[in-house]
Amino acid sequence: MSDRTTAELADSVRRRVRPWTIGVPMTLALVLLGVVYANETLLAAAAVPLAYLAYGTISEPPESPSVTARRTVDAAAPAPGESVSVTLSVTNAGDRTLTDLRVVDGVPEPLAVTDGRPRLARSLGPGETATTTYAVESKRGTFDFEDPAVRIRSLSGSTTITGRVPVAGDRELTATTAVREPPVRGVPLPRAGRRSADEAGPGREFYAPRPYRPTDPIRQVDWRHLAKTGKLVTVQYRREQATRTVLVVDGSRKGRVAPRPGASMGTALCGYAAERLYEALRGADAVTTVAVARGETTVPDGLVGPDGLAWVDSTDRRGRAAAEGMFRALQRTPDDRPDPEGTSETAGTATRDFDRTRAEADYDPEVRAVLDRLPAAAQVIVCTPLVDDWPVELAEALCRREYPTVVVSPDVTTGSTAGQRLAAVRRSLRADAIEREGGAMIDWTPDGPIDGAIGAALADIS
Amino acid sequence: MTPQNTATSTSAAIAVVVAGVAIASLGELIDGLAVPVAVGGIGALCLAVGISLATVVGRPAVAGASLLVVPGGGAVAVALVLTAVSIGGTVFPIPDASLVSLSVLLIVGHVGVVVGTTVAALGVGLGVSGALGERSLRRFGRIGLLTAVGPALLAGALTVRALGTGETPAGAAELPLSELASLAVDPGGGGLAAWSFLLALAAAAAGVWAALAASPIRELLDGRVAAESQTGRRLDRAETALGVGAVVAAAAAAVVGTIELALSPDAISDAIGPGSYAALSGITTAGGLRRLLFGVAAAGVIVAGLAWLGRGALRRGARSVVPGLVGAAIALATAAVAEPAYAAVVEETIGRLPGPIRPRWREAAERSAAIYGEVTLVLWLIVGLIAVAVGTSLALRGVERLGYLRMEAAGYALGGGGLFLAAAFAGTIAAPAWLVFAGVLASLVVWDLGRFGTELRLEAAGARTRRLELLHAGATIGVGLLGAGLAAGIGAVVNGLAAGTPTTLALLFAVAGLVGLIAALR
Repeated sequence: MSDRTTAELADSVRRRVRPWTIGVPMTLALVLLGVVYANETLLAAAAVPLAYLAYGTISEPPESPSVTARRTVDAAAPAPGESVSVTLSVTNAGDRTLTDLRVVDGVPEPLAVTDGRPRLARSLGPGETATTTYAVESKRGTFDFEDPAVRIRSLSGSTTITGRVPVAGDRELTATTAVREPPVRGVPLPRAGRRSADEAGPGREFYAPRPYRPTDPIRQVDWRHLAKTGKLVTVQYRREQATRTVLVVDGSRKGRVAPRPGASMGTALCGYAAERLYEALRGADAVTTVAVARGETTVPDGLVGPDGLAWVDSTDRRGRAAAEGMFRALQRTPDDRPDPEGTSETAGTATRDFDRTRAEADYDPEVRAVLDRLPAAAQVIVCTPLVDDWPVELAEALCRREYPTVVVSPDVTTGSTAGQRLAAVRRSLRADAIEREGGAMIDWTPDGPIDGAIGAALADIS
Repeated sequence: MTPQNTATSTSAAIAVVVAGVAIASLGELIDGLAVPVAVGGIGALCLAVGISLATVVGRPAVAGASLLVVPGGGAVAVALVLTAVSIGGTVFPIPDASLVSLSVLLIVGHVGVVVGTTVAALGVGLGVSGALGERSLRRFGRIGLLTAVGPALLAGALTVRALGTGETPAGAAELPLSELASLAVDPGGGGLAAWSFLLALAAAAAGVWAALAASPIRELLDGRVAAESQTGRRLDRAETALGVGAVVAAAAAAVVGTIELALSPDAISDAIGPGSYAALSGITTAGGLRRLLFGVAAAGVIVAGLAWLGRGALRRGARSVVPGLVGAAIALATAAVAEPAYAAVVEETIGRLPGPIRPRWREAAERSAAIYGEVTLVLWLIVGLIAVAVGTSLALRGVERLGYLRMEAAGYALGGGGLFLAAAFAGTIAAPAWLVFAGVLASLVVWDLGRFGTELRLEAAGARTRRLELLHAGATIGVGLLGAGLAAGIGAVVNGLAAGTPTTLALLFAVAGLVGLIAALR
């Protein structure tokens, strides 16, 4: 953060507009009419436009205007989607009044101004300061503000000076990454990274007794049973197996929708939710795999496999770096419209019977790819905006294979238009279908904090 | 509407107040102009609202614009006619012939003030709405034309009936339509009448050309093939031949008409031979052939008109149907109240005319009513009022095309121009000097605030700008007041000069000195 202030305008351009030259034809017309009519009143009236002509001539802005600016960004590390207040103060550092000062702050293009205006139009006396406060909706990443554009006009408007004033204070806005966020509290995190299987084997949980065999360890003999019945019985324990948590992020272009202009898109919010979950799981030493499905146009090159899945086992530093790269890519998805294919969802598909039994061969290739890659002992967290039926199909397939499945879904259908309300109803139907299949549905409204959603998701899988 | 072209609220409010006060002062302080200025202002506001509505999509807006065409054009026309008639009534009869030019200048001056204030009200109204532009004017003009279709058709039909049936008092109509029609079909007189035959031929060719050009033959052919197909090529050739034929026939009619006028039929007969003359005369004076040619021409025009209306209805939907319906409703309503309305208009007009010409006007009004009927005349009056509204939009389009209104705040520029016009004309009719100065000041203030406010809205949209706007407005008005004070001072000095001093010359020198001073400063 720089504290530098500079009074001079950078790259300033001085321009004469001469709007009051309109006084010339008016004067001529009055003089002509006055002469033709021999009318003193008309001739004398020519003094009025002449006065304006003189006004336009002598009214000038300062030769070297001195302006300083300071910008303050309210939140040091906001979360993506959070509203951030920005205050811009402009001071006349010169000794002459700036009768007409107009300032436009250089808001980074990707950030949408959601409240207030990043503009000022004031007259400023020497030493006087004008301030404007506006709010932008933060997005994932670091965005540089440009220096504010300044235009100084003479009172008559006949001369303008346009340039940029170097700004002191905050010059960038960085939406926080998950690494810097506080850990989720109050949630029992999955600590062991293992879960019990439904069979006997090495473990600590009682499974079932069976008759003693000579090779059984002596510590597994049930001595109480021997004392009561005189028979040797061996206690079996439930076998513990290594468990892997797989975070599946829906990177479809169809998710590039937002509830309002400037708000974060569904895909970006999924990336953010996945990143937060990933960090929480890492903090609990859980073995985590990150997969991005339908994300060919979203994730970095080289990460997508031949089956169309980006699959990263984040057990080592390289894996973690790749996972973080995928999260960043997801949260920086370009703000374009979904492809036509994505909007061609028909009423028939939206209202289809989710309970219909589906043959495996019918599964979407990307669903099959996820199923093929999943280890036997895995619990799956799916992050999806749930704007089409693909996540329902995935959750259905996962639940039928008895994978513990949690679906975390940012709601991007909170708008009030008829279309958005219809989309909200469809999404609600999809969520119901997932819950009927046995998946846990975690609904996250991005206007609120994500911590609750993360806590609920982790509670469901732990 | 185009909000980008509107000024910020404070500047717009000040401009509106300044313009309103200036218009009201000019109307109130110049004798006999209070009512015309008020009526003109109301008409201008109707037109401004109508033009603004023309930019809005939807049937209610189109219907609103269509409904405002008649009151808008009517009020503007009434204001101008009322001014001319009222002032004319006060200056006529002119006692001395040398005073005629002065009296005319007096009328022109008063009408100029009303024109200026009306244009000012129209401009400021359009400035506030931000609707002034080529698109809105074009749409409004089209709505006006379509609104006029109903009244014009009804009025035309009634006129044809009145003239065609000959149910007119003897001698009342100098040349009724039936007589014209019979002359066209049967020229008589024993001459060739080749010129009128050629004209009939040209009309028929033009009618068929218009029908072919407007009819959807090309659309019915495959667009891809049309240009290459035999039918398409034949159609092109036929259109070209008919167009050229019509022009050639019309030109030949002029030449032949001149010859027929210059030479007697006998001389022509001698020149071309009696046999040829008789054969030619048989063709050119054949009533059946002429009827056929005129019938073809009429049919062609009707087909072309229907095709044009059909295309418009298909392309523009509500924008063409709704004004047509509104026009039809206006025509029917006008027909219902035509008689009392005609009587009221005649009485009101005659009451303001100079005494000596009142009987003549009354007689003309009564004869017209007797020939055509009150309904026809009032319908034509309605068509005329719509023409004023459409003409206003056309005039504004012309000004816009010339480049005078291409600046951002075109409405305020128009308003300022109107005020300047009004102030200048007020100066010619011995209005109080301070009123002239104030009018010129107001014109510049309205123009400047409109320009400033529009630019400010573009550059600082949404920012708090009131303080800046008040400062700018204060400075502009202050400079104007200084200028007006200077003008008043010059006037006082000149009035204080000794008798016989050429005051105009003195003032010219004063103004020239000011111009020189400013030029030196620049």
